[in-house]
Amino acid sequence: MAGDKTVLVVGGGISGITAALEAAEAGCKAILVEKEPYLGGRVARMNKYFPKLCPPNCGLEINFRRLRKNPDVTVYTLATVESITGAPGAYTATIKISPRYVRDHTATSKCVEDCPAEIPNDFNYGMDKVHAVRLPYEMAYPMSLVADAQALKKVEGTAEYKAFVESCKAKGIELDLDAQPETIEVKASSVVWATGWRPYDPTKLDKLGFGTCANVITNVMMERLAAANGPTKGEIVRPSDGKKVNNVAFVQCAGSRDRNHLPYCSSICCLASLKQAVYVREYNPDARAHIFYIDLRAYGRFEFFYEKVREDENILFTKGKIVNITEDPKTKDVILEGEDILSGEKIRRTFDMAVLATGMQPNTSIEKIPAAGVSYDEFGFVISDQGIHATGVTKRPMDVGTCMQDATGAAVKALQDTVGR
Amino acid sequence: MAKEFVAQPDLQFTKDLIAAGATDLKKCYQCATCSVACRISPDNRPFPRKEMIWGQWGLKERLLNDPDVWLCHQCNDCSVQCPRGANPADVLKAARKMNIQNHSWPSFMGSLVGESSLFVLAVGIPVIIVLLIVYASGWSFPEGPVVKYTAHHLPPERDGFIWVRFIQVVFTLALLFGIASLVISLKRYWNSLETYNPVVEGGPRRDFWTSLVEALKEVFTHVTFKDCEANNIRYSAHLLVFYGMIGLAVTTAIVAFNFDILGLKPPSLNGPGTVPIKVLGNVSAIAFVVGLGIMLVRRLTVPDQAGGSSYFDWLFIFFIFGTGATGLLTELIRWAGGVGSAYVLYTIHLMFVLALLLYLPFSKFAHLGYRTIAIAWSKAAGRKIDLGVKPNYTPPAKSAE
Amino acid sequence: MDHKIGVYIDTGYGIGEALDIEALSAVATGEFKVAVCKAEPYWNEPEKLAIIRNDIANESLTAVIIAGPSPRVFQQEFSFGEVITERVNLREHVVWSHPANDEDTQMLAEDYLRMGIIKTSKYVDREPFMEETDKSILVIGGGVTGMTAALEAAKAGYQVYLVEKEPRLGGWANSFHKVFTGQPPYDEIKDSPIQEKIKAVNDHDKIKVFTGNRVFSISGAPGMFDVIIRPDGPWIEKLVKEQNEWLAAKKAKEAAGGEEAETPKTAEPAAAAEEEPPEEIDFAHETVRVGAIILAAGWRPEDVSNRKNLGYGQYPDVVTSVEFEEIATKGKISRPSDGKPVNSIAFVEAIDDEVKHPLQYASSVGSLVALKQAHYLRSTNPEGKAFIFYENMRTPGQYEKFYQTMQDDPGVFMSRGVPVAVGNGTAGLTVELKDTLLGEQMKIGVDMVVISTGMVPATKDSAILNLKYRQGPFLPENPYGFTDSHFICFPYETQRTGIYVAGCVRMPLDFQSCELDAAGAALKAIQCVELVAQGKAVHPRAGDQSYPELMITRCTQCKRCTEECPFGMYDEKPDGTPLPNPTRCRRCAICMGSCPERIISFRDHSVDMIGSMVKGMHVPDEYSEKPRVVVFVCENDAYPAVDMAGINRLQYSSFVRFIPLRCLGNINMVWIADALSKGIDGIMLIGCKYGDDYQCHFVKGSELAQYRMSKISETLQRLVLESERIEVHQLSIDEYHRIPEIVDAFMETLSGFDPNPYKGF
Repeated sequence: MAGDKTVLVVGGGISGITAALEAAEAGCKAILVEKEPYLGGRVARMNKYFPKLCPPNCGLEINFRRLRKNPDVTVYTLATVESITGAPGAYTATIKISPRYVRDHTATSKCVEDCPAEIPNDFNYGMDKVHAVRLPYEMAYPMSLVADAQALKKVEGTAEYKAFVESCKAKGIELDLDAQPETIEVKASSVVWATGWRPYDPTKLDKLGFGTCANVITNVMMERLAAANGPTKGEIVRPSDGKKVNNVAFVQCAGSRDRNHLPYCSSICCLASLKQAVYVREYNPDARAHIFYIDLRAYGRFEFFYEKVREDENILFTKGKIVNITEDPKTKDVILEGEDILSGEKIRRTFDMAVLATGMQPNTSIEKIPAAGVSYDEFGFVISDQGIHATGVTKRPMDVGTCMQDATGAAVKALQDTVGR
Repeated sequence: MAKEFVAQPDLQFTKDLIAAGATDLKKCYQCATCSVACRISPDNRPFPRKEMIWGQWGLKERLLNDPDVWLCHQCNDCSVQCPRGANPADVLKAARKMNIQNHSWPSFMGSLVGESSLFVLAVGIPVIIVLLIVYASGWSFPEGPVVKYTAHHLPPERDGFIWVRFIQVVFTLALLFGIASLVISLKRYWNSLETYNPVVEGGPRRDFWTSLVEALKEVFTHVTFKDCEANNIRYSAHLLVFYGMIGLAVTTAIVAFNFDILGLKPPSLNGPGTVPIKVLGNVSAIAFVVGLGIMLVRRLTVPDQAGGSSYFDWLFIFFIFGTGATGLLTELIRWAGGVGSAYVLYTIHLMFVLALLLYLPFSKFAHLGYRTIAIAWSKAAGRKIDLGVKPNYTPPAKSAE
Repeated sequence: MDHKIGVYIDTGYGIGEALDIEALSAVATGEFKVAVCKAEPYWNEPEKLAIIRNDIANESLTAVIIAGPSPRVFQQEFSFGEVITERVNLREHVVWSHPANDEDTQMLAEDYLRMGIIKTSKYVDREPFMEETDKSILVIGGGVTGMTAALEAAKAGYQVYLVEKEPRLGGWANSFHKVFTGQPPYDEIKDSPIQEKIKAVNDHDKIKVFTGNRVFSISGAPGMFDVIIRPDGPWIEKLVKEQNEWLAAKKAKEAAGGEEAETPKTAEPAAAAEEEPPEEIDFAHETVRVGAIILAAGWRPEDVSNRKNLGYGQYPDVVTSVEFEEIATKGKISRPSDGKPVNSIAFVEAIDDEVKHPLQYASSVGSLVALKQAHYLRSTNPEGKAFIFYENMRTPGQYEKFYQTMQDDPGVFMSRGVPVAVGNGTAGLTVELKDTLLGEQMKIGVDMVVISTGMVPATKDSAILNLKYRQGPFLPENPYGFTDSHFICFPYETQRTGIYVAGCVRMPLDFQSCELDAAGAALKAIQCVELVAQGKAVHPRAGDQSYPELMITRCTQCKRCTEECPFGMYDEKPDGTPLPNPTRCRRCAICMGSCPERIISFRDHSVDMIGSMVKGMHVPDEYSEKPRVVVFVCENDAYPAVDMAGINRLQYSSFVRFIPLRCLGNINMVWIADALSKGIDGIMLIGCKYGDDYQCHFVKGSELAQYRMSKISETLQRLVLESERIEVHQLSIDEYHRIPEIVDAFMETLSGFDPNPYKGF
């Protein structure tokens, strides 16, 4: 089909990848723009999907394969869209592409283990460190290294660094710390906006002890903790002392359904916690998981999953929001306070670890779309749908499957823009 | 299994509660943040979460016989932390108002004070009575320098302001009426607590008097106020008002006793004076007004922390603040030598005092009575239980679902 | 071998240091006499690619083999138009996971190169399957979803046929009093916007609407579906009855054991013989040819009379939420029993401890409907009391604000509460509940009870599509009772290519989610018609131009291919031989594995090809103490997992050789025989997880492999070999860390046996 049918897809998470591929396989050309050095976004950092408990990398791999095969999709990583002008059928966008600071032939982190500088590992939500030159994760697409220039500049003079540069050369890896970002301009007849979400900042939940209690983590961190390629290689242990957790509490609505934080429901946190409770039980059969909720929201066929999880005697449910989390200074255990609504008694219980089910905040609530005529609802989700089509969590909180459906739908809208109405 | 409960939701009651100041009652979605945010709420059947759903469901009987609404000291922590903005503190306050009205005797007085529509009447009664007294005393506001406590001249001297006897009779009666109906109302309240309270099934009873003494200890020390977070300045403010009030009461009592019974002339005349009794009076008055001022300012400036204010609150504030202010002003003006105006102000002061006495059991003023009784009852009934921290809680075996 | 092959060995990535490149090249040039063999670092570099292009031009190469990094990288770089390009994974699978400069590592590399060259030489030239195809789209169901799908496809420029069984469009939305749209400000309920949609559909010149009609039958395949549209009538009951009897019989057979299920059967109303003259159609109908189909047949209300405790059917004033919609449209709400005005209603969920998954069809919308309907009463009766009892108030996303707004009404009373019983009270009905916020047990008297009703997919009762497929008229169901096949990752796929489900036929959805879903389905249908027009496969092997070819003369009518194809690709000829419909094919090649006669092959993937690769590897004699193991791996998950092992430099035995398959379901018994008779000591199969939550991209490939291996014992007995020499493993892509343990454990097992006696035969 005609080659001028170009769709600009912003955001390389599961929604963006899907939109780009579906449009391309329907005969469009797609330009996929991602700000991270790798595609996959949040799902790349998940351990398993509910309710099938299958690995997101399985689905990502098949999508990456479609990408590799498909010459009609152009991918820009480390790229952000600076501005979009024009109208449906004829948009012009300027894209800023930051350098990777390193050139290689699909090398891996193992190839650069002698790198003298380390940085906090953003991929693992800062729970560990990585070398300043690394492959973001082993299944990363594109499979090429990325370097942190600032971190490396700090050690530039040292002998280790010089040695490192040499050993890199031998492996066909070249560093260029002075590389400059470039700005390109692209034309597209339609735009799909899929910049997705970020976990709500847990430090804003001052009563829930994140940052003040060593063993309070968030649900996204739990995903990394349980993942075989995570900071603990899949060992679900306490941050404070690396002890196997036996007794974990899941704190629902940590920020969601709260006028002081996210007034809407993030839709997926209940199911995520059900799933993570299963992680804990599978990892340590002696462990107990306790979920504190206001309403347990398992919609549609997820009802099956909820019922399956409920059958486990060691996964407990208590209706009642957790209000305070404090720490026992000696044991570093966390002390949770709430009310068991059905028995009508206040609860004060200690756990090895507490997981805050923090909600999804649309990135568009913080970084607006750099184009005219886009409207948002009171929470920052995009509601307009003319020429610039929001999809996935940019539109409303969704589970992964729904994101893929929605992204496929966005592709048809994009296709319509290319044929003109 | 708890005893089966047949719900008879009273839509009107819900509406009344909302009208009484529980504006955001319906917003509650029962997450129980409030019950835990509240540091003085007991561990078993804590408030205010249950009061919220009772209110939403119009469960009149439960809410009107619930001692917990009085255990709340309106510190507003719950409202500040509420994720839905349902303001539980305001709901409990509204419930307290309805408690007072519901148990007050004679009940028409309850509505007289409670209904904003009857404001004119509520204010009119004391005004008219006092004006009648002034009129009966010959409507004279003496000129010239005030040489003595004119109002307290012993009869039959008539060169002064008004006949003391009137004051003595009317105000004593008013006081007696106030006290009597307060006692009766409280008795009614105690009985309904005993019979209908929704919070305690049985439980080991304790003796009334010891409970009352403990309750009073709590009241006098204001310990519970200390736990408040969102609105902690109220601790000091309320303490000032509370002791200011008592100070003034004591002063008045002593003076009245000296004067009316022993027939002693008041010690000093104009000026602050250094006599202990006057010092007490003045200090109390200042404390009283300052405390009130703080509360007033906070109500007006930071309602989200101080909590919303209903007609019921404003009327009460109006009466006591009026009393304090007019009293103080009269004294000041007298020092300043403004004569006629001092008398006028004093007249108004009398009106406020009368209102205070008459409405004692029906206005928010009555909370000191109700709260003390509710606390006493809770102590007697062993209401408050501390469950403590459960380390590594192990659940009871799950019943097959 | 008729291909002129160029081999390009990449010496980068430490390959050059770890291997004897001379010896490796010798394999290509010596054993196979390839036209060109060059060794250089980083062939992906532009100037190196230029070299390859030159060779292609000058040496007129027809095939290129890159022996270097995994085929998972540089796919765009290493593609040379028509020239066949094969990749040999010397990096991840050899030097990164085995000791450098080691005899066994070298042998491993050489074997991989051999297999690569053999594989390449087995490629056959074959044109993609091209036939006259039609690009129009059939949409079944004229409700919100169907109409949206039709509009989206039409707007993109495609001809659409819309079939609705009712006399008018709109579906359920017609009978709804009001709807919650999920549109900002999220706090109101509106008149159903369905009328505008109906108008838009009727006005669109690319949409042809058939109301009062049903699909009588669908035959053919993507790009060439022949659809018979027939006016609604009693015929449908008859057809449905027949179909369900047939299904019951089939299920009974399967329950009786796979064996019988495998044996051919004939008593199938739907089993059509394409080559027969088309049956006489003696009724009014229309026939349309379409390229793809969107099934948006929607839902029917769940029958809640099995919820014994709720008194539905027993008391006239107990109604379902669907019935209540109709009552509400009449304005002021009155009691069905005596027409008296209703002052109080209890809205309850259809929970009954006796019923499994009581809310499976209701949980996504039940709460929202109750909130909406409570408002019906309140807006018509200021003194009315609406009681909503929920187990969990489910108002996801921005609907939370809808909940919030509905809460504000003082006449709406809400509490958690599980209905225990509904009975006759003094002045109406009495509802008994447990676990409420007002006490463990409570009773409440009301005028009416409304039970939140589930949305059961229309496909539960009938095939609707009425497919004339060998495998029957139905879309296969997933474990959740819906007809999509890859819920989560490929949400629109079904087990019938070119047929996409959308809306409440796929899962209970609210209005806006139906629209969302419909748009996506429209795109998938468009994709399908575009791809098949180019002779390409659809998802998940989109773009694949190979397709199965059958050497039908050797067919023994065993019917395994027709039975085992997960996508019902094969129909059946009168003589019992399979009739392929290539555009139905997903190119998983499961049929290739199922065929005992080995007559099914793809141009780039065949029984002979894999068999020759196995036979082509060098097997040292039994005294060398160098056992050999062949591992067949699924290329979708297991193969990348092996790459991950390499990337993480995990080390495992150098005696194993991995052979990727399109799906483990490709596994053909003959390869096992080939391997064993060649002297291979052990064979492993590593595929995706199967079962209810299968991860197999082709639904049951890995399960079939497992099944076939369970039948291998006689082969082994014939060869007098231990059955432990064959292992099947399930491995998901993120379990690469298990590969060394799996492999080494197997080597350990084998060390317990003598070497395969057939070595050197």
